[in-house]
Amino acid sequence: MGNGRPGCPSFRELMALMDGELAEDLRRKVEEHLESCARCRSIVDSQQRMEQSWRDAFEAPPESGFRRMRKEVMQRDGSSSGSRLLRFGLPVAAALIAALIGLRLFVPGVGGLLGTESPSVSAARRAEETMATTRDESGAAEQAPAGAAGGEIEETAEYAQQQVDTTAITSAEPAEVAAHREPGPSGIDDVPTDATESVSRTGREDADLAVQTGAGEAPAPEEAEEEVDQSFMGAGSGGGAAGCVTVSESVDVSSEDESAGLGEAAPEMTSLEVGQEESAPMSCPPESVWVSQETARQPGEDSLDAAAAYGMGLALVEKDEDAADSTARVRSSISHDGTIAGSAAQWDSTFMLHLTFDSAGGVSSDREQLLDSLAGGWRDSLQGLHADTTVTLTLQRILELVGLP
Amino acid sequence: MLLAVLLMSAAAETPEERELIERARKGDREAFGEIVKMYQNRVFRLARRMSRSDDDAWDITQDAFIRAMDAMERFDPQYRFFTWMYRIVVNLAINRTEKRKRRGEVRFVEEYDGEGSQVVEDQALERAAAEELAEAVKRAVGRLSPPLRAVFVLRVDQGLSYSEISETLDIAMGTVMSRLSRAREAVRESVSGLLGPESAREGG
Repeated sequence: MGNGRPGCPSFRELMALMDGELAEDLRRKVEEHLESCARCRSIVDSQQRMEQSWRDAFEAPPESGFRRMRKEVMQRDGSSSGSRLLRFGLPVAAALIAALIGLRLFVPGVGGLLGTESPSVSAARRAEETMATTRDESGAAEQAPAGAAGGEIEETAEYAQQQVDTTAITSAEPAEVAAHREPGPSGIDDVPTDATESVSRTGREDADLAVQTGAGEAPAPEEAEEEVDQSFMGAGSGGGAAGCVTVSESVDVSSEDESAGLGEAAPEMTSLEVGQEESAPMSCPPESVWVSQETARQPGEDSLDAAAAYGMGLALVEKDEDAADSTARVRSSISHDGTIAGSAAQWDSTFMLHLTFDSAGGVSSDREQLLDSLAGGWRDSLQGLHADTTVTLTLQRILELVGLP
Repeated sequence: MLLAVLLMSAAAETPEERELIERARKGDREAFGEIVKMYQNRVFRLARRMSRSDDDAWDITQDAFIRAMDAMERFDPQYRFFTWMYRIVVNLAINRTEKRKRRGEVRFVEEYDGEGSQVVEDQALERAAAEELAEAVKRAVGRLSPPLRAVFVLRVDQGLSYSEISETLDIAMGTVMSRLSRAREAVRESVSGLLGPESAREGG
């Protein structure tokens, strides 16, 4: 990967800079590099130009299209829950049927209208199917083409059967969440977004938080690549090993990164990256996964080994045996505007810090002054949380632990 | 040197939006209608970028809102509505494309296409007119496999942050980055190829 030039950041790093996603230290370094490297500048410039021209070229459709679409959507009377319809619609429908039977007319649509399921039934069904759909949705999809262009009724109905159930991400009872826990790559919608809470409570990432959005590609090689290729990103990214040999190498790279110029660090990062990708499937045990901070912090779980992290709130932890092929998910735990109120704008809540615990549980940090000013009393609050280890957490998480809003 | 891109997607919901969402969750159809109006442009745009024609995009848009309406009661408001909405759109688009793929109608740049490609530094890329470039990118994006395309579109066209993409697609941050990178490299290569033989390929 990378641009093959020693001393230059990788393509990915350049893009991350362009996207505004590099953590502060690395951002400064890459920006400095760009000041003196015409080649990297031209890559970024041409990429921006390309993307901007594509963005600009979008032609918005006429309002009439939207009106038509809204009309189709709003005139559906499936309503949001089958149970509601059953409560209020059934007596009406029953009367209608009786009347029509009396008139010897057949009413085919009634079955469809009443063919909706209550949410709990839907959830149970979803648990049985990898790519599930609720009947009301398939009903919806079948009826949708009526307003759509093109005679694709058959196609629409067919794909509706296979549609991943997006309603799964809505709030779920624990029972529903449990019902979703099926093994295998079950598509992104099988587990509710808010299931992170439940996942956190049970302390492990679920096997079916697969990344595949129905594309059917094998998760394994992808995971291996993900897990190890972000070591270059992030302020003070102390790469810690946690069962992943290649990742542990990044510790040295990162610490050197702090003191060395980008030029020195880059070749190591580049080759490390390549090396990691090559060896990742073999060296990184499949048990190691990236999980959200919340998941990692469960009582009874092994304490975090040092985390290979970057400025986005991930930590590498050891996980239970069961979740064999799980890939992780970052739980966005930051406030909506990404900052912590009251702190200087430069410290956004995804900023990563190291906390080092000695054998007595006493804690120190690479950013003690920062913590002193933003998280007063942090030493006392965090005392004893871990021992003999270094963890990397987001600022947000530390504030939560210290008990600040 | 970084351009500030005008982002279309809402990072935060306004109080008005939240109120509408709350009302819609309780079954207020009129409120949902307002939500449709608020999101229709973004949803259509995402659908259009993910699909191959206006017709497809309208189908997806309509289906997406219908699904959202049906599921609205169960939407958990602690999450951002647009990520939920976008996820529905992306899934619908991907399913539609997967069908076509199974039928052999389309062919994509797959994610694991051998070694990572070298980044192309390209004169032709730089010299091309904006319209030409846009058209080439459009075609290149159409050749990406749906998972790659989704990340590319969400980042480049919708301006979502990596973490928002991660939340929307329910994939790990690492996956977001690797897919995005791969997608961009593939698009770059395609575009260079499309723009003409004078493209100079950067050697390794």
